[in-house]
Amino acid sequence: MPDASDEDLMLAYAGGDAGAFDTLYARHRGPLFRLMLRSVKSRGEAEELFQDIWMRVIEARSRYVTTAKFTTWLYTVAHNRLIDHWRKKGLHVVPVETEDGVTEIEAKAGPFDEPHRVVEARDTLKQLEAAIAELPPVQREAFLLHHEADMTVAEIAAATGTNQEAAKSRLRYAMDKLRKVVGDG
Amino acid sequence: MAERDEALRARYRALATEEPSVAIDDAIRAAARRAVSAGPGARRSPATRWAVPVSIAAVVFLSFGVVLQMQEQVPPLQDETRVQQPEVLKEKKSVAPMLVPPPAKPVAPLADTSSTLATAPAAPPAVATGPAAPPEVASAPAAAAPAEAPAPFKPEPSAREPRAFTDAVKPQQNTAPLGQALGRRDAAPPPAPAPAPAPAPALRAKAEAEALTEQRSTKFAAGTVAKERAEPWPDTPEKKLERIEALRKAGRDKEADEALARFKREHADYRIPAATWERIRSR
Repeated sequence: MPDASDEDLMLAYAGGDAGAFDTLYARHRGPLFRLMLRSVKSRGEAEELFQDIWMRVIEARSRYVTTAKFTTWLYTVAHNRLIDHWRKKGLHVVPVETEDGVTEIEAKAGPFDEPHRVVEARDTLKQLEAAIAELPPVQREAFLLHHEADMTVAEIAAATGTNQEAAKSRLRYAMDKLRKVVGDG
Repeated sequence: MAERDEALRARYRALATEEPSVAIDDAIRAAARRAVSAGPGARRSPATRWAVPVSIAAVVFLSFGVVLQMQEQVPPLQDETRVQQPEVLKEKKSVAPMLVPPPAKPVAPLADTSSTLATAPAAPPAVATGPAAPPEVASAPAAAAPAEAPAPFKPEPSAREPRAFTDAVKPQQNTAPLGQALGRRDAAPPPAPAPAPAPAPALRAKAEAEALTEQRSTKFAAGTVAKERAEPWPDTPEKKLERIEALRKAGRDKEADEALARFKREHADYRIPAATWERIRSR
């Protein structure tokens, strides 16, 4: 069972195999948690969202069909949950035209865009963490999906409900900003 | 570009080491197990999985058993009827070869209680009163008691008949049980007027005829007689009248009178044409 694909594990869990869920959860708990942790203000909120996402997965097990990768489905659930969270916090998600002419979904105010969190250090992990926090939410999400969940641009687009061009643009912008922060740009 | 991405990835990997708390892990795993064990997609234990099929099989098995038992209980009633029917049929079958139905079975009790017949009017029904009494049955006793027995309608008395009847009457004791059974059956109908007093042989012969009449339907008796008689009693009133007329012409007035009386019993409402009446009336 440890070598089974995510999709098979999910189907097995939908069929009543609780052990399959444990394996699946062990694979994705870290990346998903870190995505949540870097998308909200506090660890408490991240844990709340994290738990809520997995509950949605559990509830939706009987409706799960293998039309896409499990990670795409999982992070779609996570993305929708984040959108709900931001809306509940009054963070209105509005489309913003980027300089490339690509329509993006930007939040007016991200959870980590406070000025005091912008640090000047360039060679420490804290600088990177701060830089990630400074990213617009959609760029940060694209970055995290790419580096945490190892998702491709197409998968990011599918998980976040956008087209591939927009997902590619978000990822490129995020990467450029972070490279500058860490001194590789 | 790729190298810079790798550097960034490596830095991020060094940064991203957070994990959810154990409490969260336990809560989520427990929720997943609960959902599986209680949800519609829960995997059922073998006992639970086989519960429904086993229940259905048990119900079917029990139903089959009950039906089987009911069939075993019901047959005695059916057997009784079956037992009676074959005996009657057997009797009927045995009648044909003997030319005359064996009166022994019904006769046995009646003959033994001939005195009872005379004293107890309610015992056996007076078969002699039945219009369906086959002529040949009555003709047999006539051989034994020609004076008292009712004269049957017998255009051509056959010498075989008395012998056949006698042969059939002889084994009376062998058929006593059925005779008793018929005696029980005879008790069911309402009592009929006691027959006129007659000498014992005549009474016996008459009782035999009655018993035969009881155990066989009129149709069967008529059919049997038809086989044996050259000229059976016709079915239609017109033919009966022709028969009576023929008897008159042949000078067999007694038989004609008997036939006429029988005709009146059977066709009380029949209006005989005046011309015909002139030819058949008693002289």
